[in-house]
Amino acid sequence: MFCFITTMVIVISSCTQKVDEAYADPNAAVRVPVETLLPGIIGNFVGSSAAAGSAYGTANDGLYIGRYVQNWATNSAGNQYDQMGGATGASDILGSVWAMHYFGMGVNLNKMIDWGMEEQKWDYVGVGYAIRAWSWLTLTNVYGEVILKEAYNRDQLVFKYDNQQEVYDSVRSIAFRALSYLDRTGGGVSPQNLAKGDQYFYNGDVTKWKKFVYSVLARSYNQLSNKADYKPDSVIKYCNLGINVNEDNATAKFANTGITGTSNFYGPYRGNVGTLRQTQFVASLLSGLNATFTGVADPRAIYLLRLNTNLTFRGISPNLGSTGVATNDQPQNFWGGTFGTATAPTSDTSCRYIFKNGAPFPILTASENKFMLAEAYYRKGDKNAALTAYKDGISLNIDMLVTDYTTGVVTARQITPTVKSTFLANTTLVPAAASLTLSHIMLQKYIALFAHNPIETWTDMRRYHYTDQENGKQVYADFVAPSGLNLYIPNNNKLVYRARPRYNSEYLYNISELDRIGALLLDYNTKEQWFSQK
Amino acid sequence: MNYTHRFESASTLPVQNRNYNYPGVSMSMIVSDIFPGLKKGNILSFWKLRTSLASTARLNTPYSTQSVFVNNFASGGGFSYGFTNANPDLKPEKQNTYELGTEIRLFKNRLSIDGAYYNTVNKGQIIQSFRLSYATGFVLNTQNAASTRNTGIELSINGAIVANKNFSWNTTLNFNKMWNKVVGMPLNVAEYYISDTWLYGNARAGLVLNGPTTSITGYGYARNANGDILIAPTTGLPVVDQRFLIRGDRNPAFTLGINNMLRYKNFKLSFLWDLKVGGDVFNATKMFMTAAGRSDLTADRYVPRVIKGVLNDGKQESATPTPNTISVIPAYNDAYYASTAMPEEAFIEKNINWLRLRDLTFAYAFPRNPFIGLKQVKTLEFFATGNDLFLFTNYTGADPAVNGNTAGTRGVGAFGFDYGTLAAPISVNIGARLGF
Repeated sequence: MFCFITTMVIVISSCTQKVDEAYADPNAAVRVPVETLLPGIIGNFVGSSAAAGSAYGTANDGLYIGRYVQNWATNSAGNQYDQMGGATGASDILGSVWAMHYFGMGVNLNKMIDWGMEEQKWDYVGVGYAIRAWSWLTLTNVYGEVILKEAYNRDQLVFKYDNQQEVYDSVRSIAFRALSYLDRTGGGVSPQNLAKGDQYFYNGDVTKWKKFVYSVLARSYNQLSNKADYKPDSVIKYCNLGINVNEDNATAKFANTGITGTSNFYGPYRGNVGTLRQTQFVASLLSGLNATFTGVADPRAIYLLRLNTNLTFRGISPNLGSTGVATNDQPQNFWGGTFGTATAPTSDTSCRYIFKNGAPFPILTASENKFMLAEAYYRKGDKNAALTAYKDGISLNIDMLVTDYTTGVVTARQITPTVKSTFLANTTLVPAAASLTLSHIMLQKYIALFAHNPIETWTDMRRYHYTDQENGKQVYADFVAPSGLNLYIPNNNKLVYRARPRYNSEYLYNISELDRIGALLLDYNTKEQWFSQK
Repeated sequence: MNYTHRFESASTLPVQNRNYNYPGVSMSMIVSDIFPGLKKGNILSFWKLRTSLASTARLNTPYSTQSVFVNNFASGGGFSYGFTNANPDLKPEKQNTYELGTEIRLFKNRLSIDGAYYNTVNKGQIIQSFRLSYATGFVLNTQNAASTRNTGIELSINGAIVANKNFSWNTTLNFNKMWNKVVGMPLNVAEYYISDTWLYGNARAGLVLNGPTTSITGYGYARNANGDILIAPTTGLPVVDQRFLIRGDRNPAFTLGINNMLRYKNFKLSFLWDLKVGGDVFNATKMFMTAAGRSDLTADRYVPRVIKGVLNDGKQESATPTPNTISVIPAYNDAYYASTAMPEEAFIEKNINWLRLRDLTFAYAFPRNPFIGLKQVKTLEFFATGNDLFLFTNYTGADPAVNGNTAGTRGVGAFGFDYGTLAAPISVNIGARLGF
């Protein structure tokens, strides 16, 4: 009898294992190599494309947030987002970062970490945590309160929102976890193997991934400048460890093989920016018409902006379309077509900057890192160090444009070393340390992040409540927030401070929590987030 | 008294939930044996009481615990998860049934009555492909999240009305009544539907918390608090409420089958009447034909009419709504018959009854061995059977006993959804039966 039972136990237990081995779904893969998960996760930084869902990422929401910060506005009057309105009705607008975080990267990233651990591919584990840290920070920057502790619980029906401070704490702890794994060697760690997954990002270089993590940490401290316990020294520390040369820039790259997934979201193939035109604010900023940089014609203008038939840089005002802009002053669209053209050209030869099909898309740059450093030193009171970092920030941005985005810029207007040094020698642009202001730093940072990172620009502008002043002078000089009829009526005369969570995720299935946090109110988009409050 | 306990193991479940067990208890007593005095007077012949408590487990569909990868088209290619959260934590659904029954035989077994009451609760029913917050990490989810209750009465009466040597008449009545209810559904899922039942327009077998499991959810007329149909002031046509609310219940009030068997010497006649009372049917065929101008409903299209209702003019919820006075002639306004003015609700026919002669058989059995020399043949019988010879119903479509899909449809199926379904045909069989 004992023998029989023992035999049965052995048979049954070995059966169980056999059952699981045999019982993988034969119709589709239930486990794939971690190397094949990372490309899709990286694709989510900008705009995803998979058999299950696409356009998750920062670029799609950037179309609307770019309007809030006046990178661009709509070429016809009456756009809700030009007016700083939030998404309304049954719309997933401004929900792409949400979908990116919870679904697009979501469980793919969790599994890459789990399976990476099993296979001792610590580099993949570290990269997973690095991206997750960035993703949490970006998510909370856009939405404020989000689902943190209960995220990814696949047995739950309703999900509780957590406050933003906890998200910041999580970003940091996940970032440190990322660093510890990125430091590990042995096991299945190898640059060649990592490059299979991150070929279109850092191409297998964990040192660069670590710098990315440090710069994410710097962002997390820098964003809390309004807080009583703001720590400029933490910003400085992580900036110094972070991305400081353009070679280390965190940049999503595109294979550009003529399909949606491998094309830049803002290029003509994707056709997403047809109705967007540069604003008067950014055009003035780059053409010497801004109060802080009066008379400084910026040589980067031709890289970033579009000309008009007068061959000048002018722009439109939010919610007004072409109203008040003479025909000859109306800028081309971002693909080089006429002002009135919204359709994309078949070729991207007339396109520049990130508006080309194969153009790399910066996620976090050395230039941004330097501007964070400049602001931290400035706030700390070290104006000399602030000035150096400020100048480095401009210089690195120019270098990045020259290296990555010269295509399409006529030779005569390309930035040569001479042009660059003359520009940097302009004392209106780079004043003496004693004359440096926050306005200098934040406006130059605005230029350095133009178009590719409206979310971080929005975070900056919200820290300064759009129109905060320093010594009686508006930091974002000449920035005119929409008001009166140009401000979305349901906003109740308040400016925009957050996006509502994704409609088809939350507004149908998580209503009780939305009610608790006030997200059912029509002016929820104007509720100031914790990070920018004093 | 009986006790059973089943131990089962299912490979479709994840390891931690794979082995499960459930008990079953049944108890019966023959009252007439315990108290033999009851049998006095030849009225009561037999009386039995029985009760049972049984559990069963129902399984998930194969592979519904494994999320699968789909192609990713980003630079570098690879894979990413599909929309569906195939939940690795699924457990088997539990079904508990409590049943109370009795069997009584009277007058030397000439009349027998068998009655039962049952109450079935399904817990942890697996809902597939329902949406939740993306915080699950997916868009569509699979969870043990619903529960339903079915209660019902079954009554069977069998009587040997006449039992002579040459003539006998036997009647059997089968009565059935069921109540059902969705007792548990995630509060944030307003409606869950089986997509296989969504055959036409905007009506389907949708489940709503506290609603019946046999409901029809669909678009209907928009109404004010008073119940008046709202009429668009610009067109004079009704405003459609584009929400999938419960607009009907397919569950009948009761069903009754009456089976008669008459025998006179060697002649046999049997017939089965089938009665159904109540239960709604969505007549999608009629809706389709109405929109195409082919239904009876459109015959009076040249007659001007004013649709009874109140104008949707801002005063519809006030004490004095504006009555509709806008005259429309459908022949000159085809929107009248379109789903935008005549929604699915208008084609859900309420309280459909039927009485049908399901089966009529006439048979003659020859006396023993009429075939001299064919000793192998023991019996010979000629018979004629007619199926569905008569149907009396208040349904305007072809046949109210419809199932819009096959028996394989999940949930309670698609009965009561009529979209181009053909009526059961009248069939006649004539044949001979030989017994060897």
